[in-house]
Amino acid sequence: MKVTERIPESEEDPFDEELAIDPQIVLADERYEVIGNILSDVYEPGHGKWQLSDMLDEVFLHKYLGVPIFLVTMWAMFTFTFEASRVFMAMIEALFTWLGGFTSQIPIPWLASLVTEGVLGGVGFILTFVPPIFLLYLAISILEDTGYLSRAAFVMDRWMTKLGLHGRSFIPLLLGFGCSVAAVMAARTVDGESNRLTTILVSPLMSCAGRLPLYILIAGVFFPNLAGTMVFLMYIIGIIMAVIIAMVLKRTILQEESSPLIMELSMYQMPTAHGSFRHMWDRGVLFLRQAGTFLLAGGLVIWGLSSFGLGGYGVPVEQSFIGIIGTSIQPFFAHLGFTWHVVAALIFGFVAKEAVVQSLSIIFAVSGETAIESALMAVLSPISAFALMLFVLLYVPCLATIGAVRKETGSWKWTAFSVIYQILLAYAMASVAVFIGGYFFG
Amino acid sequence: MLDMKVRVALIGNPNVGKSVVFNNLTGLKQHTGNWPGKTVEQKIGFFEYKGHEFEIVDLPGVYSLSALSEDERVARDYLIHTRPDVVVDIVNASQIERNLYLTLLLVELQLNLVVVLNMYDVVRNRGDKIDTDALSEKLGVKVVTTVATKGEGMQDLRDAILEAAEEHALSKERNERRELHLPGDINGGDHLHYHPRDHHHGEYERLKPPNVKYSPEIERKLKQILEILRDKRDILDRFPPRWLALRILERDPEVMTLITDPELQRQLLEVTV
Amino acid sequence: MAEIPADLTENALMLAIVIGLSYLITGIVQVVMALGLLPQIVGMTDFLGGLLLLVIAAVFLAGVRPIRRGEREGVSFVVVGIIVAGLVCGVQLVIIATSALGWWLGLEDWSGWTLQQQLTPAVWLFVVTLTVLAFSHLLNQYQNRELHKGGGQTG
Repeated sequence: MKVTERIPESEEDPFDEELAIDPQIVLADERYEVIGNILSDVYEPGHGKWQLSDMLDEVFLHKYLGVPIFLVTMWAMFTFTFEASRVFMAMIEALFTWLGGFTSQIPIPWLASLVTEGVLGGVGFILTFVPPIFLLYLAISILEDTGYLSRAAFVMDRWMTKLGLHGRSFIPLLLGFGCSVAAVMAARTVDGESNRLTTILVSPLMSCAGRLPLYILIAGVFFPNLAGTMVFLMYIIGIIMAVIIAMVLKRTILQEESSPLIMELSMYQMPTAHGSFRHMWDRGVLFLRQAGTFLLAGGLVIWGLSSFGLGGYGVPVEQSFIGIIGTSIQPFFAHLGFTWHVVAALIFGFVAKEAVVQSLSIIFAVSGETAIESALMAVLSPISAFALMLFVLLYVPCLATIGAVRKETGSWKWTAFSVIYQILLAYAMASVAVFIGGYFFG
Repeated sequence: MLDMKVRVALIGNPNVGKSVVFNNLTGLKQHTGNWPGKTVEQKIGFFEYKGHEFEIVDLPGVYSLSALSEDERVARDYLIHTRPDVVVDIVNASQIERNLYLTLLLVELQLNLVVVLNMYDVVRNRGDKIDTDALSEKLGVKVVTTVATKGEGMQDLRDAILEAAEEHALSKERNERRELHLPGDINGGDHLHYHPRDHHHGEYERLKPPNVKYSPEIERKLKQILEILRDKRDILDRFPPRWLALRILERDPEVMTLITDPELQRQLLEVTV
Repeated sequence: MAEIPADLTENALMLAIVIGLSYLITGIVQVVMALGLLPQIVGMTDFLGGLLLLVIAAVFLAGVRPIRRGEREGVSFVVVGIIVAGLVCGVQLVIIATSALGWWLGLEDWSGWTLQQQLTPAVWLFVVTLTVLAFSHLLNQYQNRELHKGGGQTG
């Protein structure tokens, strides 16, 4: 029978000797023996008609080819997301620029500024990222619906187990590409308290769709020829950091014996257009709703903070409230080459990562810059821009995720730990990137 | 014969089509909530069949009952403490080997089981066959084949649930008539009683003799453990005795914490596999 | 799910070698070009793209040994190779389609767009693959007819 080959019991386990005396394993073996005896009497194999599904697993789960194929699939997913959406982004951008041409004509200056820079510049700008986000969700849905996603988890499990991690954690982590909240919630399926906690703590490091706008913006501006590769690289760094942090946690504060992994691999299926688009739509609508509600509200707040200062309305943007906040914290980020604009945007990013791009757009718009791209070129070096992508990748994803972590861990202590370690990690990694980048390219 | 509502629990590994079976059985008569004090979703549904009322609880999809994850704990606690009249175990027939692991764990609990071989079309398409009669005999449970997504075999499943429920009720009557030995009395040698904490009948539960036995060596160890626990009615009465012995042999952390007497603990830890 | 067409299983060895080598050679050339060690050709400048070709080549070539031993597992390498190659080609075709849309709409970023630069090896190698498959299919039909003829004569 085919199933037996996929039971990843102790054969690969590095702790073989310890497991040999584990009574749970002894009884599990006993049960499998009983099952084997029963099935040999009960199961009548046919003429061995070989299924395409079995064939696919032969290669997708291959010892050496499994991981490269997984990486190719990931690459295809991100290239598709990034490249295919560019033209639609340009179209939406053109639409909002066209609209802005009208709203800037509003005779009341502050209202014109509020609508053009606060609403169109903020929410409108975020909406240009609808195409890549929808396409990313579409790609994830297709991978999920075909059944490949669980294979990917299985392929990576070999590595995870070698690193001393629990294999089932990989499914929540993969879901993290869509949304960190979903990933944290999915950690429920992981066996063992400490395994579960580790998964909850590291899954926000997986790069969610909310971070995509910033990558696309920065990579497009600073690394135009390598944009797709840079975005892909961010995702890979996210995975690597998650694995490293998980290893550190498992070796230090969250030690626990690993429990055996049994995973369900259902048959491959042809994804239906209806099903995949339905999934994409369900998830994408959440993003739209977010844009319509608190990103809109956030945009107004940011516009207000950057238009008003101690001197009232219309002060230069450096003297606005946001300028004051940004400038006061900026020294901590000076060595990263972040200007106060960037620092202020990062602060708003605590609410949601989309807000980083939104704030940048509004701040530059209010300060009279016409194009965010050239404004960014003026204030950031490519190395700092890379550090910014890293920082956004690694620091706390959003309030909703913090809420989910609190709910799933049931502890403020772990929630605080999650927030703090991510900020420290982001800070440290960005610093390292600037240091190394400065050494080689500076 | 069945004057009360029959309580049925649905269990199975994740992705075996359990919720499709649940929906097929109950239609729209269901409501969802959370398990008390847990973040795990609880679905309860109702249906009537041949004049009897059934209440179905959909337990979380689990691979085992080791009480490590919250899902597993919810399922295990419900099965032990509430002791439903009939437990329907949904098995993915195309991956029967792995799925039967959970089935064996349910057999260890000596539940009144109906095993559903779902997705049977996949097995058929492969050109394979599963001898359900033989499987039924070996496990000592009813076995039904279904293709839930197409509604195939649902009638058989309803019949099997009803039959299992009736047998269960009959066995209870028989038990009361005979009064072979007192509940919890292991002198009968079969350890066939315990008192589920939240049982709706509020009485001792008579267990079916286990059909699946393990190797003689393990069985001997189980007897040893039960011998040690012979007078410890406070523990022995709360769980199916054979299951309790298996968990002690496995050093199940949750069960081990219940044994507080250090001397008893020492004795039990001496029995090793 | 679907059955494997017979002409795939019967000519598996030929398919694995021919397609695998095409991807391997092109992949190596592209990687070397991307590293600047060879004069560059339009559409073959992407290093990562070169690595992708090598992975696809590896999938096909990994099938050669099991196929020669007569293990049916070998065929799966060819099947998966075709799927992965098709996926990579499909993604590239989508990119070409959207770029063409941008060019047609006269958007700024696409004003200098040419089809050539996006007709990467991922696309034309898959066309080669399909051609080889079609050839294998014809070959098989021809062989079958011969077999029938032969059977008729002896019988």
